Amino acid sequence: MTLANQLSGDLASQQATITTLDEQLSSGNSLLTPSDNPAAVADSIGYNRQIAQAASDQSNATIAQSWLGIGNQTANQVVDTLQSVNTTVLQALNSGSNNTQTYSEMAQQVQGLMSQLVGLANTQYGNTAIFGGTAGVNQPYSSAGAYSGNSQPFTISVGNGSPVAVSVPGDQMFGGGTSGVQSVFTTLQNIVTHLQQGPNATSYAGLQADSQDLSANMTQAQTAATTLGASTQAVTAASTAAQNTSTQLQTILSKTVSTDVPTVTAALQSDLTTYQAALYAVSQTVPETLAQFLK
Amino acid sequence: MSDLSLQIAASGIEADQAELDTAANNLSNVSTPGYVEEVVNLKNITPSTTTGVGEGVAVQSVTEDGSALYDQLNLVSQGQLGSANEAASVQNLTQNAFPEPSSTGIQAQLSQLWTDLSTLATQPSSSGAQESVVQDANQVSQSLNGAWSQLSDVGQQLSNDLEGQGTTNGGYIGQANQLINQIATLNGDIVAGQNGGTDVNSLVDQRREAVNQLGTLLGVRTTTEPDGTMTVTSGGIQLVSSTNAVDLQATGTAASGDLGVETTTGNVLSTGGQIGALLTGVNTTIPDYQSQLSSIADSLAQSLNTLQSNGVSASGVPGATSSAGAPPYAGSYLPSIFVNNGSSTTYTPGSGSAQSITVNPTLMANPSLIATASGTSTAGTATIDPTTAQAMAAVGQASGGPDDLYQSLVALVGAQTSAANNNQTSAQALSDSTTAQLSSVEGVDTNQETVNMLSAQQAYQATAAVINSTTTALEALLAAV
Repeated sequence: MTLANQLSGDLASQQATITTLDEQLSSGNSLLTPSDNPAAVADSIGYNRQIAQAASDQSNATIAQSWLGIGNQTANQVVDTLQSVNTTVLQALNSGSNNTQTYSEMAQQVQGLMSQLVGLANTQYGNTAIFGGTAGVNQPYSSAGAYSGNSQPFTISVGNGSPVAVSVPGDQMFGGGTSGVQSVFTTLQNIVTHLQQGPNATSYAGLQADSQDLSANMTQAQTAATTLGASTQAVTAASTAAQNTSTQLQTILSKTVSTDVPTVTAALQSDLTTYQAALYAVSQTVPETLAQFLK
Repeated sequence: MSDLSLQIAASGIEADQAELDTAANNLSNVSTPGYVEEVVNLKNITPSTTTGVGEGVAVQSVTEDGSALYDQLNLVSQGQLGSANEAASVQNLTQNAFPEPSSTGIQAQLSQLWTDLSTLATQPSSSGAQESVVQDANQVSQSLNGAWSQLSDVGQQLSNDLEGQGTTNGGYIGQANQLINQIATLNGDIVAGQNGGTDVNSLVDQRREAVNQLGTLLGVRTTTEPDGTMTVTSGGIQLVSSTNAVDLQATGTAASGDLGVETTTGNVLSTGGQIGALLTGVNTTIPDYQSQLSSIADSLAQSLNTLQSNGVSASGVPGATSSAGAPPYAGSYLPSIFVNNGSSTTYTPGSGSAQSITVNPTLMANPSLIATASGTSTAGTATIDPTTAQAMAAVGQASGGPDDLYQSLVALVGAQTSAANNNQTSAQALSDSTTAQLSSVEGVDTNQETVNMLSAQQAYQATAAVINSTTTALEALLAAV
């Protein structure tokens, strides 16, 4: 009886092993409950957390890139517009053939460029103005160029470290506020006023001063564009890092929780062979009693 | 003389018959639980004459070939196996409250909350993003409530198993009481049988089997008294003494974590076996897991509530402790994100908070009342400052934060369940080995019995030949007359 009990215990334990391997193969997961491998399950939870974080970082980086893309494009258009104004001002200052008529035409031209600039200053990403700082306003600039935004850049978190600034507040692109540079809209309004006065000594002196102001405005807009460019590089680097992290963690996670099919298949084959051998042993051994011989 | 040899032969036939009967009885009881191999004790009959010729054989008794030592070892290992089986079963039930690794478990829900907070930080005034965050927070709090209840349900189910509610067999306590009374009754029957000179082996077998079952349930010690009765104790408390049985009853409740077993006379048992493991699960393991779930709830609620209180919403509503909310501000404040169920204002941490954590109904009704901006923003002015939303999203990566705590809890549950399963395997192996030893000492050895049967058969044939020979001799004598 002892022998039979022993053999039946062995068979039961082999059957349990085979069942576990079968489950692993059919589910594709080597970990089905926390007790299967507590350390690996805890690790896999940690990997999943980091993968979710990396995915979130990547998604934020994509949004940040959109912000920066629109910001860069707008900044370039601002610089182009200011260059057109500059050309007009230089024309007014240098050409001897100017008269009241040409000055008036130039004034209209600059007014047109100014309203174009107000439009650029109110550019939105989604429903959010990109040059309003963090103020919750849709139109940070009035048609006269009055600023209702604030001086704080909008930031987006794209991974480890501080959130990245993805916009420049309007005052750092267009002057005014606390930036120490006169608002570009004031400069343009002054140019229009001086041009409307017609060519004379006062307007000429005024336009010369305006030209210097405009130059400061152009420098500021270019600096802002450079800032956005630097942020773009930081975001791209963060996005790549998040992508790499995610790929590496997916690989590790897959090794941790997925069934290693070749190994499990081999183990299953070996266990099945052992099981059959044990069955054979039982069939040969159990009937061998003395009673058998006494028949 | 011839008369005597026939008598001697008859006694031999009787003894051989007893040997054959005992072998037959042993072989038929090969698989009977608790059966101990019996042996025939023979004795030669002292000659009554001075010639020195023997007068045959007598069957003195048929006794069990048992071993008290192995009986005790087996009893201990049965108690350990019962305890290990129950502990593994309790652990696996509690583990079901933590279905990890999974893409839908509490960890995945927490990650979703952090991701959506991070998205909200990129568009603080988006009502869709605000709604997602509030729904995620609601989902997490409901899952914490759910895990808590599932653990409580396991505790209640175990308590029912113990007390027999909803079962037909009276539960563990009912079974134990039945066995205790059965042992006391058998004690009486055995003494009566011994005094009346009848065979009590089968009664002793029944009592041993009952004691083993009681040992599996409770973990017991036994002492066999000189009069043949058995005294049974568990945790130092006497349950059976002679024919006196002490009934057990449950005390305390699973909900208050003080479930126990006491005698009807009020002595609380410190039990082993299945009941001991069940009580450990109900009174220690489950409350421990629930308390750790509450730590997760506390960490989550307190981190986010503090940030909420120090921040300002996208529409400019300040939190109660933000700079923007300081006087002269006199308007209303942002509500707490998490509250205890039934409260609309406060969250109080504690060991039961995983049961009661819920998202503030005010916030559920108006998700725009979530703080996204820095507390230094201006009250009453719309802002897309994302500072507070970013800080909330960062709670997910905080060391010692809710995610860390949950990860540790799952690791703990996994490790304890795995240990319980391993313990069960080794207890099973120990029990198998003890049973094998016991069986080799006390059990019926079919080969040995077959040999006994053959030798009894040969002796029977030889004795029959003696009768034949005596008869022939007698006939020869009569023919000669």
